[in-house]
Amino acid sequence: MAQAPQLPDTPSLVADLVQQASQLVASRQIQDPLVIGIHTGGVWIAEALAQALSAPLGKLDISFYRDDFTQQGLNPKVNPSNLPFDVNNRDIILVDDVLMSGRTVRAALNEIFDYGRPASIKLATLCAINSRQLPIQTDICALHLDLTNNQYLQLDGPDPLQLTLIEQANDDSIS
Amino acid sequence: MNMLIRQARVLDPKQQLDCVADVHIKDGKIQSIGHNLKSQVDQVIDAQNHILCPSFTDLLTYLRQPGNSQQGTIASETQAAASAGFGTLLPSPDTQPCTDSTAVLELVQDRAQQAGFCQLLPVGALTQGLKSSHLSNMQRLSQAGARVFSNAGYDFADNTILLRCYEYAATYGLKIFVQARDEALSNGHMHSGALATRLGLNGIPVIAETLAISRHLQFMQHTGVSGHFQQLSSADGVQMIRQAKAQGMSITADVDLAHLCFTEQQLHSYASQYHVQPPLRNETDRQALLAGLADGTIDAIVSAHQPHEAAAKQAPFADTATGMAMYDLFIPLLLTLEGQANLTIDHLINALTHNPASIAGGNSHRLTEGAIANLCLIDPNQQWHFDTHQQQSHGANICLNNMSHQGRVVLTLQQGRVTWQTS
Amino acid sequence: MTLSPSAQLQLTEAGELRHFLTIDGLPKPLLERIIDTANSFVVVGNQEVKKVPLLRGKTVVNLFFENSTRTRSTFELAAKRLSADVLNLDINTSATSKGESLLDTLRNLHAMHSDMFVVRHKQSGAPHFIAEQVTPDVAIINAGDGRHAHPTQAMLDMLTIHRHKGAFDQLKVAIVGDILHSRVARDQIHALTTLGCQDIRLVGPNTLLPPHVSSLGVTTHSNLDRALQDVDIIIMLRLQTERMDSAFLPSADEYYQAYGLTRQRLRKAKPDAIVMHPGPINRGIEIESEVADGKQSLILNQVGYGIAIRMAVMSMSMSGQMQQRQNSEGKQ
Repeated sequence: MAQAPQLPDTPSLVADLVQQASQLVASRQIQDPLVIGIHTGGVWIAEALAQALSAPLGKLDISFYRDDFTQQGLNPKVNPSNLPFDVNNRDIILVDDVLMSGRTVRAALNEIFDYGRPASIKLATLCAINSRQLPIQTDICALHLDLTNNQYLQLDGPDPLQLTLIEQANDDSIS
Repeated sequence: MNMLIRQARVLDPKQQLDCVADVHIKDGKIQSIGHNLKSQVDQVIDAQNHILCPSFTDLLTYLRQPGNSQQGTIASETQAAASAGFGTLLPSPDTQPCTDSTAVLELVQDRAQQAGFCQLLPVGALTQGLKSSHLSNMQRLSQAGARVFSNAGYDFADNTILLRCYEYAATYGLKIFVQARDEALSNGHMHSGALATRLGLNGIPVIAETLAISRHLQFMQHTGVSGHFQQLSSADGVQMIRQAKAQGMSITADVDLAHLCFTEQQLHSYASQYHVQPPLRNETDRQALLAGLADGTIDAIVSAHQPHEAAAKQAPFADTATGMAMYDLFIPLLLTLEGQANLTIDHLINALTHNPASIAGGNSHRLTEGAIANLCLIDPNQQWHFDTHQQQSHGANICLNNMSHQGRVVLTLQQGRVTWQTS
Repeated sequence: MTLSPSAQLQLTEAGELRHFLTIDGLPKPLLERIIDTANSFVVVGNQEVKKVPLLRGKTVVNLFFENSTRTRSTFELAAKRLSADVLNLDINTSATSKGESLLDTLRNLHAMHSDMFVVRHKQSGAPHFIAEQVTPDVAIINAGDGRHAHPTQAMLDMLTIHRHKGAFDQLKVAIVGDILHSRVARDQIHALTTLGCQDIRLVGPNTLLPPHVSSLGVTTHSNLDRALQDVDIIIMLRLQTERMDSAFLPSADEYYQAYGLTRQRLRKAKPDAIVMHPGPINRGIEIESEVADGKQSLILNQVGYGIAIRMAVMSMSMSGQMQQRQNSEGKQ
């Protein structure tokens, strides 16, 4: 049984991610990127990235693109998606707070492609947990973790941003 | 045939006979009624707690033949009637063709005799084709056996023609059965009330019945014709009959079993099985019908049995045919009435035997020694499960299907022959 | 809480919507969820990409036994914005025999594996009949049956009220016109009472009021000026010209005199009262042109909300129907 890992403090994680993103731009791997955050935690992180890179910010709600619609039904509280730019031929940094199964990112990719055809998409998440169900990996990430089935991460915010490790008594399925 | 029925409650309201006794039936006649009979017989039926009474007379039933044989035939429906304890039926004249000719009367009699389950007393059509515009050959039809005439609920646009019908019937002392409904106001599918509003269905108001009753009462009074009102459905209707009788008019009335047992609440999810004309009304009306039966305002109970094929009831409500197939579950439903409005079993039996028989002008069947056996034996306590494998009627529109019921006819004798027996 | 038979037919065992036939009997939290879900689709309707993939791969059949280009096109648009495949069938019943044809038509369609039927029929109870007896595993959406119900219209009216007035419990609502023949009015009444509205006034001559209608939780009035006092919401119903021919009313002119919503009458209501109409409007018969086009009128907004409501109801019932199917397969 793994010990509950100690998390570094959240602002330093965010700073690390910002640093990695700036490096991507500086090394010309991407040009003039658009930053798109996935509601809700991903948007908070994306705001920090967009500000640091002086890049335009977009927000996505993937509720309508989830793959579990027929099992779970529709969550009535949906935030508006807002991409105030043309995505065609642009480099995009797609931002989320925690990468787990990969289904949320899959939904976000589908939604972005309904808007147009980007030149590239880099995935940036604050942390990634080793529990992938789809072949999706981060391009930049501040923290990689191995967790047990009853542990998960939660980002609270927007101010202050706080990443917490939650332990649950019973086995919960993670999305 | 030689059978002994032991310890039945022998009930014959006409004779005021109500006692527990043994009944010996041999060669189609009642040999003896007594206690501890020691007769030599082929068959003994243990009838403890059973009711033995004269077989029933039905003043309104739809046998479908001649006409639409997918709904039923005289053979199938009279067999179903026998399984409910009926021995004598007055079928509706509304067949195709209707009973406005002696040829149709003879056909119906032939078929009934061939089938051998029930005696049919013919009801003549009051107008030709039941089209309410020309008198039918009432005299000839009455000579061919029709003692009663009816226009099967079809309304008259022209009061003059209706008057002539009454006058002509009076000439020959003929009785008229009236299904009282004002056609223009009956352009609906259920009782006009809060439920009809909720379901968005056209309602038939009570005045559709009372207006028609009032009209016919006045014609009866004016011409002296002896009239009988069929299928009362409302408290107001019962009250009109009560008042007319109190004023000395010689009229009679019946109510169908469905209206005594059910109300419009059966329709709350568009259950087309309960789509009937006249419509099932509310609980106040039902209680008034029960009270009317109890105080003698209403003389008889009819089945109004109306078998339909499955498709006739499988459509949006207003597009479905009206009518319920009542014979298969007649006795279980009848028995639920015992105790309501202080109705006793013998009162109910009287409303199915002696009263309708005298209204029809036929002979009452008696339970006396030497009489031909026309009787039925009912086990009011038998629990049985009813499903389509057991049904006798060809109708697919039997309500309360696939359920357990209490009460069953175990034996019916018609003119001395067994027409129904459970194994 | 025991569910009414109509609610039992429309909901899965878990209380999710699987058929949308009538508002009568549906619980308040469900109506609120429909409004919330529809609000998110209003947002989608304002985005550049108006399509979402919720119903991709599903087939929606518009079964209109009664013609209506307006209603049918909003359902079609809603289905397409959910990425469904749409099939439009206009079936003229006058040439066909009654019940059998409906049964056979539906059985044939069922064999083609449709997922949802949107049904409009002139007989009250037709969608109930279909949902209960013919194709219970296909999600049935009632687009209007006889005089009985028009639940999507009533819900879009509730959405309109909610977006412009907020909570229902203090509102005074007047519904004016031919309530007897209106399936919309019946469902509006059920929705308003369920959502907590306590003052619903039906206004019209006795010939156009259904019998025993106060049993639905409303009051009836024949004087429009008095009935409009202090009212927050005025819902005008369309008057069909056939009503004059079948002796319900003497003339359109006399109707307008007594029951037409004029600017003058509108002033009897609260100054911020809103005017609604399910459409199509008859100018000069039930409503004055200036009122229909005026600033208090939300008639055009209702149309946009109609697409959002239909998207909400269609996605909710498709999801409920699929969950029901999975549950029953799981039990086998």
